[in-house]
Amino acid sequence: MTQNNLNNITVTVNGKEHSLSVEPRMLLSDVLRDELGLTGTHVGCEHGICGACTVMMDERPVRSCLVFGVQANQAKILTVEGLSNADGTLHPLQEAFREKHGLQCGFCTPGFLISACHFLEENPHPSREEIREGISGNLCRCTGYQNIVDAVEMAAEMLSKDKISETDQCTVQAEHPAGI
Amino acid sequence: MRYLGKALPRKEDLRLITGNGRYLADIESKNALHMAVLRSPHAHARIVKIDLTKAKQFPEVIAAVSFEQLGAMGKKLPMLVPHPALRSETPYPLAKDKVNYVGEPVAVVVATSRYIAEDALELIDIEYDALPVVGNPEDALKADAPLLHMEVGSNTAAMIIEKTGDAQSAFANADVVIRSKFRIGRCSVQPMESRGVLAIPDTLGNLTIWDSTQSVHTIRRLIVGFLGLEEQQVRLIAPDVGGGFGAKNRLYPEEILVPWLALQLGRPVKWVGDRMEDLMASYQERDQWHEAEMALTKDGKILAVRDHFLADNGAYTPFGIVVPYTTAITIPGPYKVPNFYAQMTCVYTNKTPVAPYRGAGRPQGVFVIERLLDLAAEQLGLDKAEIRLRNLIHTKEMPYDTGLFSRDGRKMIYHSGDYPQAFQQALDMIDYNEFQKLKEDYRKEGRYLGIGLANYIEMAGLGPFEGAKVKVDPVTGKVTVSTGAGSQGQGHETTLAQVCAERLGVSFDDVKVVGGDTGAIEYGVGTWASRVAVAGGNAVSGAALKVRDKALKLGGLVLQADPMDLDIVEGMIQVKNDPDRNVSLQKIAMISVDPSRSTQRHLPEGSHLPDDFQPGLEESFYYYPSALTFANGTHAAIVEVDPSTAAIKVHRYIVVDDCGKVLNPMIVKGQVIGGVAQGLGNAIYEEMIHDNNGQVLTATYMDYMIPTSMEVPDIQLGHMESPDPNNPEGVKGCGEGGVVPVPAVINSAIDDALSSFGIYTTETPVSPFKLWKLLKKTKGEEKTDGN
Ligand code: FES
Ligand code: FES
Repeated sequence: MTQNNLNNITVTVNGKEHSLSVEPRMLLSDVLRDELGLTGTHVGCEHGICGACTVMMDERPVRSCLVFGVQANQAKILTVEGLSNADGTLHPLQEAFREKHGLQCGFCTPGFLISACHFLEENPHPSREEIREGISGNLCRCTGYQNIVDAVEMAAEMLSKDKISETDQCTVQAEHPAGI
Repeated sequence: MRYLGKALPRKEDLRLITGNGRYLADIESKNALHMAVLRSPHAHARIVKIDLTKAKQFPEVIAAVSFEQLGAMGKKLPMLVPHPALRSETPYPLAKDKVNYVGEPVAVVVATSRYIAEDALELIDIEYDALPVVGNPEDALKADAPLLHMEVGSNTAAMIIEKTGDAQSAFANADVVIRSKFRIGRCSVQPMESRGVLAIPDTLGNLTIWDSTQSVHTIRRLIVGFLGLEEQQVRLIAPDVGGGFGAKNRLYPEEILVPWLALQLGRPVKWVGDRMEDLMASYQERDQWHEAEMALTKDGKILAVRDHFLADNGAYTPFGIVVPYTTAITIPGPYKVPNFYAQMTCVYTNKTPVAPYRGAGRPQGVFVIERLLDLAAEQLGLDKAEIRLRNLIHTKEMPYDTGLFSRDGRKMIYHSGDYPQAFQQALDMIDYNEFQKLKEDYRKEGRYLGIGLANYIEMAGLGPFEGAKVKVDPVTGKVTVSTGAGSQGQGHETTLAQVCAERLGVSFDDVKVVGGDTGAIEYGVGTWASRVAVAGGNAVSGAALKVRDKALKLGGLVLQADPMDLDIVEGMIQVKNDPDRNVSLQKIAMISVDPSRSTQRHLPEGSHLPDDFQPGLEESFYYYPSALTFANGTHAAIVEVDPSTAAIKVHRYIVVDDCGKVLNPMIVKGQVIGGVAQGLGNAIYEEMIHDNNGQVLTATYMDYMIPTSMEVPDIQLGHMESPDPNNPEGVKGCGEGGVVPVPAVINSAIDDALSSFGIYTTETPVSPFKLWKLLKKTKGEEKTDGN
């Protein structure tokens, strides 16, 4: 019951390296939120269905509620806080979500942004149906998805016009001051 | 109009898309303690003993509490919406003697971390003696049924009749009478953010409470009343709230326990519910059993509707009889029903309590009348669109008095809208006339397509009031609008700013809206029942106009002009014919609070502020709606069913809605589409299932199915706009219409698709599994006379 068995881990989150000691049972979502103060990653269900807690871990999207913090040792993580450019310019997906009213309460939004970001990297020119499938691992209770699909469609277009600077957004390596 | 009616992008989005939103769980409080709740695993059981000793033995565990330790707090939670016919029962903060539903709070542990608090729950030694379970309202009313509440003396919480005309003789004289039973399943609300509370005490016994609630003022009033505090000792703030839909609109036990513990322990205490807690213990809705009948002439005119229904209310009545009452008065909808009789019986069962969820009783009412109309059409050999056209209220018949009364005692009178036109527009959009051919083409390929239709009325604009305070900052000239009605995603920071900018005459960019904070405005009611555009919008408009008046008066003094000749444009007061003669609102605000220095500079010689002048450009306005508003609309859908698997696929979904004047069309569209998605969940996928012992079988998202992007199709919107004549801004509210008629439409379409199997569905949700069972009953055989 007491906090014993602390493990030392090192994680790079949004380009910044952190060393900390955590209990082995602590979820990555809680490490990010409670230990590192990055509350942009939300916890909706804690059982791997809603996708609100999605972050990128070593270039793959993961549900941070299904990963223990200790499993993220040495990993590179991207959270919503690291999605925009270091200078504050929004990622095309963020622009598109705002433009297309792809959010209402915004609770699911960080998870959608991260999932969609990875999806567009794998499939830069998706059809609407493919987008629907691509984001189907994330639940939204407010928007009815239509505007989210519109937003991802719009972002795909923006990204294809502006390939060079944005395509590696989901795998930012550089230190990201906006992240903390 | 510079701002009203425009699809301006939302002000709230920037923080939410960058991870800067602050939801309850994100609010930091140094050295906060964490509360975890032990919940009943039984639907009905006597508590024999609770031993907290083991749970308390760890230094990280600061407190463990069951009913016994509550002391003076061991009293029942207040009742929110009383009714003379209601034998109300509300829960204690922690169960006393006996538990009445799975998930009911029994004990809490407070520890230095949530992980440890949850560990300690396991160490609570508790013994239950299981009691027989009341699983559904029909059983609950049997003579030998076990009682939930001895004091009530029966499981009937209330029995109420709502009527108009003389249904009995109308039925006696009718050409045709049709009857059917309907069962509307129990849904959970499921905002993506679960509920949570954080209370931070100071050393003087004051509290700041952060609460993911829809109604900050009401909840504060209830908390201070319960804890014996004074209102000004508590500031209650709802931060960013991750969806509400009704689930966060009432006082729950946790909202008492957290502040009480914070005061007891002298430290911040935080509780954030998890998904399983939310599925078991956040109040639920729908759950009704109807026996309804309709009397008609042979050409399909409705003569009367009669309905007896049971509302399965669950274990307590925290929100009175609002849900069944709303169902009853919603049944006639946009149709002429001259004689009407509804008898509702609100019943206690061993389930989670029922309280309003988006739509709040309306989907059930619409389901009943629309299903009856489909059945009547079939019986009379009429087309289902035709029978509806024959009964819709026409504009020339307005104001149309339904003869019924809303729950706040107001007459249900429809004042504006063109129901047949909305219906026709939907028929056109979905190519209703071409549909038979489409259906036949599909049938040739062995596929089964059906079309469904439903109309609805969305009663909104409920009072008693909403307030707004509009203030021009004397230093920056920026404008703050404070309102009691916070947002759970509806976009009030944007729409209310549009109203203020328009009415005051300032730039939209210069207006900031603060909602959901008792510190920001003295009185407020909250965000529910599609009431904010009506009550809140008109309050903002009223306050903005008061500020405008005052600014023009002082502006007239400064510019030496008649206030009548002045205008305010983008924050500048200017002479209408001579805009170069102007003064900024900021300067006027400054003069008004700092006249000792400013007046000498700005007021003409010899003039001074009037004796009765009040400082500041700041005005409050509380708007009491004089009448309810009634938005209306039509939904239509084309659905495909595979009779071999009972899979249901929605091909097209059309909505035509009329919510009066639109403040921001983009936001209205978002509300409508989001509503339809929830409606599709209610119609096809979502149901709380219990076993015979009242055990919840749908306590995770593996079992309780929220629709994903694969289940919700693109929705096409048509639009009409008939301003409401009774409120200055002409708005009607749009928060619920999207969800209300969906189950009726889906069942209608499914029946049409499977008409050759002779299927008539009377249940919602009509899940693929239920449909498959129905098809099995027909042995999957088509009737030979089917087409
Ligand atoms: S919180 Fe991780 S998937 Fe829902
Ligand atoms: S915007 Fe509220 S859950 Fe998606």
